[in-house]
Amino acid sequence: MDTIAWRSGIESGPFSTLEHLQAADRRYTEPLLEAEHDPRIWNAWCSQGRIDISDGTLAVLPSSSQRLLSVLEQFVVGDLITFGRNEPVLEAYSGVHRAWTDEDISGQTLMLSIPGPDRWLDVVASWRDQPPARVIARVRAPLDGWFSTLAASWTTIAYRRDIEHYVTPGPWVLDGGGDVWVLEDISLDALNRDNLPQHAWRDVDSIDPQRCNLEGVRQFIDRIIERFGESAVFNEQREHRDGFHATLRFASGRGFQIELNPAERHLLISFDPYDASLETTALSSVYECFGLAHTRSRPVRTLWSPRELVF
Amino acid sequence: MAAPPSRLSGLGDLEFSLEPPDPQANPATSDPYHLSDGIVLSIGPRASRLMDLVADDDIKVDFRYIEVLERLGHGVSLAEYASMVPLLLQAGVIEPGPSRPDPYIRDRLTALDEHYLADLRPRLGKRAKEAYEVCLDVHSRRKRFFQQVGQCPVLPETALRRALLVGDAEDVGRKSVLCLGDDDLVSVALAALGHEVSAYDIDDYLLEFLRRSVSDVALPVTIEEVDLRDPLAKKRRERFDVVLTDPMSNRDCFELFLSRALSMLKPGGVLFSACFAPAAELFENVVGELGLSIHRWYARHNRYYTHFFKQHWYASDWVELRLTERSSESVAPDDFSVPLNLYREDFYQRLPIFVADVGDIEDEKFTRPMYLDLILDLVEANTELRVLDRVYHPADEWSLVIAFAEQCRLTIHADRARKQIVIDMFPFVPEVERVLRGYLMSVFKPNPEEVGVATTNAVWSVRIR
Repeated sequence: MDTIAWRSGIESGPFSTLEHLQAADRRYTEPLLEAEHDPRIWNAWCSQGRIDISDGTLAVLPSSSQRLLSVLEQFVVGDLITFGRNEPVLEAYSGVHRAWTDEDISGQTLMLSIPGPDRWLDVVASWRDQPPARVIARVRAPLDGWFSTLAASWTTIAYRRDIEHYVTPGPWVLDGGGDVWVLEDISLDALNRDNLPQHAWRDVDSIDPQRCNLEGVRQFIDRIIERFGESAVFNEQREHRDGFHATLRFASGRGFQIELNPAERHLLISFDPYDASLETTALSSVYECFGLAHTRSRPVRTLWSPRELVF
Repeated sequence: MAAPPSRLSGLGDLEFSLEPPDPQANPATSDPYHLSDGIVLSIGPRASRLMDLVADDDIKVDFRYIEVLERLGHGVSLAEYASMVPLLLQAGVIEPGPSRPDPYIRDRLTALDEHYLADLRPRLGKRAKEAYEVCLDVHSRRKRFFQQVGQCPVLPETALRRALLVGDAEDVGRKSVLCLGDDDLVSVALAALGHEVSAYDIDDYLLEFLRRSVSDVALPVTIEEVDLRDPLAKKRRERFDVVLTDPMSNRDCFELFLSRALSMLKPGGVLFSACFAPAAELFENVVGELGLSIHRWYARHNRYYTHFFKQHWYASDWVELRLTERSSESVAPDDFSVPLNLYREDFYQRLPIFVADVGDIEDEKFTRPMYLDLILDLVEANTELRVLDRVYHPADEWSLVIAFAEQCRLTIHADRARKQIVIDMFPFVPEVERVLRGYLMSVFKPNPEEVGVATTNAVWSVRIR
């Protein structure tokens, strides 16, 4: 397939792509769909002996419960039409393990997790074989740095890097996959929110030069405010010598700064303090407000393991 | 577990005596030596270092010693430099005998590969498994890294994946394949899959390393020194079915490498090229200008390791290109090329970010905007920082102060519930960081239990607890 054929996906409509996706999805996930959904561990992580609901990037699952699929329930595809342009991305990943639920096509949550089917089944198989005391943790930047700082709090049985891939609707791929760790002897005290990284960064390259202005920044911020579902209490945008700066804070204190450099068509987002759900909202908004076909985003891998980097 | 003592400690700054080579010495009659397990040489743009990976130690190496150490990387006789041998032997930096796979490096690479091979391994046939093993073997022999020419090898796993995209000769037929630049040692995996393989490179060490390695593992690879900036010899034109290359992601390199590859491909040939994700648009533009068509795009296909044998954060896409009727070089085969930017990525280096995280603050009152403002006053008074404006937001549980300065933007976020202050500065100004860190510690944490500083090209971070 050449470049022209990729682009023609738009003209040919999304449905053949969707059918392809759904067929691939059924092939690899149907056996898993029979697993009973357990809301207690839906994207959950253990904190001080109880189960808290987290918001997107980290899940620690009791392996004995075999509920890995339940994690996927929250990965919902929005704006399916744009998937017509996504074939090269999908081909690259060779399989899709999770479909969507029609009622959730709201554009609110835009991430779809797409590991290769072999990796996926491999992980599931290893997970099913684990003795109950073991857990599987799914984690991606910036939380991956957390694992080495807490290394003394558990025994690492195995880890697989870049198992999980994330794409947003449209022709966009998020660089920086998620890792899967198999852990044992976990100290639940250590799995505390206070130990999570408090900040993280995202580089977004090749953004739309037509939107690299104060108006583009305003629209981006407005879209996040509209979507995030919390009242914004601080919203400052400035033009400076090198480009544009914006700071946003919600009532809870969650927020971020952005630095937009028009000359480099580069956007830096500093999540401070880091919040995964805000990151999801911000990233989907980035692509909608600044995205072109070549826009790529990658996390700046965290350093919260000052003694030694994990990798 | 504590690291073992460094074998480099006995060498100081390698200021031992380097006698001129003895012209009477006969290397053919003297025993060879090689760098010991876990000892590697890294030649960087500003400094070169001899590293003991096992002890996590390194020393600077004067350029006068590089040639000798490079030769030791090959495992050769030191007859001309016999006076160096006792000291290096005593320190444990060299061992007698010819070069061989370094078990320490092999273990490190195996561990890195393990995660990525998990899905691939069950599907590998016998020959592919053997190709991986021989590829890992050759990667494990490598003892010298030359950063100045942008060398950063892919994992053996990635080398195998690249080779498998060409295919096993038993399945796809024996193809003539060129690795245009083979710092990644993909030629080894391709040869193991039965293809007729050539590797062109410009680096003397790498060429010699490849010759010795493929000879040791008994694989036929034609290895030649080729400078792509020179006109392309007629014998190399339209010669290959497949060309693989991993240029630096900038316009000069894309044009030069892809043009030369185009000239060397037979009609109907296939070209694989790496592309750093942020440069995808540029890559596609250059590909379009050269009249190549993009057949497949494998996102995040290529993973690399550093000379510390840790995984590099850098990853790249792998793109399969095809010739078309419109294909035409931007650098004609008979022309010299003078690229301005041969060894630097366009999108690799951004301005660095600074973050300071001060936790467990004992006295909450210091997290109020007035005190945060005071810190800014002190920094401004004691540095060249020129603050143009400040903006404040006080809330019950947290406060925010932003300083818009000529040189940077500084955001101070104080979270009273967490007893934590996070300062974010972009771009990073070293002088401001130095002064700021001092005030943060004296005001918020006069007796810190932990001060961690972690730096990369992208981030300078300070953690105070």
